Amino acid sequence: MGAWEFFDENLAIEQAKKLDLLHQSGNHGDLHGIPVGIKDIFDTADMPTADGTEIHKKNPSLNDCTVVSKLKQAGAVIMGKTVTCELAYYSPGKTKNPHDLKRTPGGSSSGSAAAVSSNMVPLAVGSQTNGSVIRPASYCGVVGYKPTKGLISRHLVLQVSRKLDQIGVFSNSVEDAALISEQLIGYDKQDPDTSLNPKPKLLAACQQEPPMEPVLAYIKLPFMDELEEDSKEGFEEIKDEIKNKLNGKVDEVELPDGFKNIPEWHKIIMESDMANSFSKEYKSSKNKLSEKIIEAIERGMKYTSLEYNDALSKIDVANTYFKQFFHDYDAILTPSATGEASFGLESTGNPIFCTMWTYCGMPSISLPLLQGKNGLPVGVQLVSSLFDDERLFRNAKWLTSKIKK
Amino acid sequence: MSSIKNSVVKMVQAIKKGEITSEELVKSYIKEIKKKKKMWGLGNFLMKILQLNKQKN
Repeated sequence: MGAWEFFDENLAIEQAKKLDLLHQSGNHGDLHGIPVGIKDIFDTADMPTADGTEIHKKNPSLNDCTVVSKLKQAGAVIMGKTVTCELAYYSPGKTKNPHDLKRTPGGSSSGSAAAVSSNMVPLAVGSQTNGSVIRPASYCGVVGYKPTKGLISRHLVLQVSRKLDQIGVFSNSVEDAALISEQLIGYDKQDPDTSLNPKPKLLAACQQEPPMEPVLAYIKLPFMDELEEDSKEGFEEIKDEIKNKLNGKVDEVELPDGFKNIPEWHKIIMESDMANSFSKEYKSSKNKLSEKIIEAIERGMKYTSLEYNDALSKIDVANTYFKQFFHDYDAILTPSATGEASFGLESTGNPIFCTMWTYCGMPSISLPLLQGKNGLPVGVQLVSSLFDDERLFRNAKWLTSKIKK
Repeated sequence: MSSIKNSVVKMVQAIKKGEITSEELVKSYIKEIKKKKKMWGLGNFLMKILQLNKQKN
């Protein structure tokens, strides 16, 4: 299904052989010998990086980015580079959905989600500026986790938007997502936005029962009407099961009116930052860029600094609200996407159900718990408050182990 | 052992205990990648034939 941008089996075997030698000397990392796929926007010293565009294809990476460096330290085998949308935006690469080759795998971390879904690797790394981890995870039927913004370094990863870019992971289980994320999380002086907070113990959190049955909030988001009918029914069933069989609680909650503007604020920040990040590509190679990205860059050039600063300032306002909100709730229960993977390969689907949480930098996880009317996977998303990733994993594990698929 | 169906936690344990080498594990995934690539190539070929047939009709 076209998941790989670069794959060299000899390079992978060479790494594995070196690790086997280390094993004999008793040296093991927590991912010793485990193959991992890397989205092709992360620099790798021994593999090319193309960022999903021919413009960058002639720029081989010189060094490993922090994420790859940490994976190697943990003993992972870098299996290859997975397909991304053009410059990690919306124009799709060659990847198809492993569940139905006529449908999108989602984007922009298309190859990473598809590679894990089709058992080509057990783990993969991606990134999210809007919905690029959670949406493909939902469409491909795997676990996708986007940590609190600032937990994982973006050093030597293609920058789309410094304010919004966040690293995420794909796996086949909640525990596996916890294991790889623990290797990646940590302050990095090369990425000034990384956090000095203590590292969350995600794997331990997976092994803990919640102290009480969780209280979940099902938010009536302003764009709820975009959720497809079969997914709506699926969510009603999940809510019923949590309430009636699992003794949990699901409250339907409405957000203050101003929150309906978040997608617009997110767009202003993302496109303004893209105009800045891709100004060189726009000026020198516009003819090699897609219409979609040109339009976004050109819109980004037109926003005023007043509009940009206003959109940025609302992030703190939203997070102040959610900080209080999570005194009453353990997690937000929400769709990962509007429904099953959309038909056709021209679009990567609608990221609207991820926008709010990416904008706020809140941790979220997509769990493959539902099936749509065509038998394709539909993700259930849990969201926690900033830096409460441990609670997110505890609740995700609780939900996946209790809910009947 | 069918390593690729296991959780990563179990795979790491198996490597640490010497039940499987990293090389064996990586090779089993490479086999899977090759299998999928072959299927994908075949799928693409069939789709092209279908498209050509549609155009003819």
